[in-house]
Amino acid sequence: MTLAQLSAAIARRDLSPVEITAACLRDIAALDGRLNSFITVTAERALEDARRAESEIMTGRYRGPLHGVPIALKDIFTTRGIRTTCGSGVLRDWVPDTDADVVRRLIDAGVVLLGKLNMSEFAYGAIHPEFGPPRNPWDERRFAGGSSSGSAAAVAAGLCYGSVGTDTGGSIRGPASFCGIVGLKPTYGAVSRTGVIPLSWSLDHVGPMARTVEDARLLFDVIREDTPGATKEVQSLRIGAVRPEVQPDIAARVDAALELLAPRVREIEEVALPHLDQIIAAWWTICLAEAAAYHQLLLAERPGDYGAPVRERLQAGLMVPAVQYLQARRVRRRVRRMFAGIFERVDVLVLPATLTDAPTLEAAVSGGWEAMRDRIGLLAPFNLTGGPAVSVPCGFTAGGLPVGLQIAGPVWGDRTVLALASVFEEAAGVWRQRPPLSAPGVLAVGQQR
Amino acid sequence: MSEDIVPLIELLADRAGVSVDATRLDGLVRRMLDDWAILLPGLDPDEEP
Repeated sequence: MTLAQLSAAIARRDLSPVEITAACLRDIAALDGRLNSFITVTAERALEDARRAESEIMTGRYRGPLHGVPIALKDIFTTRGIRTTCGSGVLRDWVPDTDADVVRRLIDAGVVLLGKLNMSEFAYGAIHPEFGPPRNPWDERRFAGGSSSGSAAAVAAGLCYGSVGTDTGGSIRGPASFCGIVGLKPTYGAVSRTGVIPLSWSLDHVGPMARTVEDARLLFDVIREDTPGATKEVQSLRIGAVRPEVQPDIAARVDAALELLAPRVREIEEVALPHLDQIIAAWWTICLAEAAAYHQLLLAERPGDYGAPVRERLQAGLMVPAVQYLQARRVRRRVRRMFAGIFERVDVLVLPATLTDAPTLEAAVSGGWEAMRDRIGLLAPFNLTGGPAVSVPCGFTAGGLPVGLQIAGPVWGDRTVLALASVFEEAAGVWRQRPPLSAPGVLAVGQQR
Repeated sequence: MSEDIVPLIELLADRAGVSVDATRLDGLVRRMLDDWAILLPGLDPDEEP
């Protein structure tokens, strides 16, 4: 059952938020020992939220599509009275006294908060040993991506109906691709970052993660600010097909996706993305410097509370000279102009989300910084442009692992990107397939009715 | 070449108030140097940050 289906059933009073929440908590207890997607489960709070939602709905005070829907949040959003670790030993005992803007919006919409989800330490590409890696529900030996790894794993396994993550260099879209769900990085600034622990102020984006495009849209409509930008009709779209060198079975899935889209849009033309090495060099320089600036004091006071890989990346960031940071910002301006030119010729770009399918946990950990550089190669350019980009499931590799199709658009083209993703999702039907490690309890409640 | 940059890493870290194992940062810093070498080519002199 999707978030949208659950929402409709709750609105009709066919399903009880309390019953659904209890089922989610049972599934988390049963499966998360293997998945490791949650850092904190807020069972009492969730049941309280659910009882309140149920009472309001039964007395005619329905708040909207997320009312009574159980979700969970990446542990990077501050939550009043709930521990917020950001996946780090540095914040292992931190209980904020305010909610992030996004959290406040979700609470006002009546969601049930199941808990806080595991993630790469400070969203910086490596897992802190205290929390351990989330596992990919399609193959428990595999990496769930980073940094919103717990969010992707929990949504894919059906432990929650949706999540909100953050994306600085692909941290929503990469895990979404590896775990076979939908992840949207909206236009920079479309969703408030207030109360989100930053990795890199000028590259951080906040966005929804869910099983379907419609589910992601329902979450996005609640968390976003008032955003401009109209939806272009899908049949009028000019698609730019980007075909980089990727794992062959990923290239085959993306080619098949483009064939499926061809009769549904106006035209498809080939587009090359030049200067990718320079783009990634600029991304790293900006991210290293901004992350080090945020962490400098904590690095001096509590270096031992960081995991070694993140501590070393932050320390290296202290070495970035102002001149190189400024050169990287100049490259960013150039990249934005270059993409603006591309988006005059085409309305959206379609390309793979990742170069490979989900690596083994061992390979992901031992690969270190270089492996992370490879993983962000097709994702980070859109953090520099600030435009929207979504990963939507488009099939499976020969090894049975999910492949994500990335659809990217110009700044404030969020609705158009989602519209095309929705048309593709409907035509491809891939989202209906469930991973081997998924929650029967949640589905069972839906199927009983 | 690592002998050349380790003292610089130590100096910069010290000025930032952070103690580091400079030999462990050698590879990361060297990679950053490679990145900086490719930032400038092709940039329009009038391009502002």
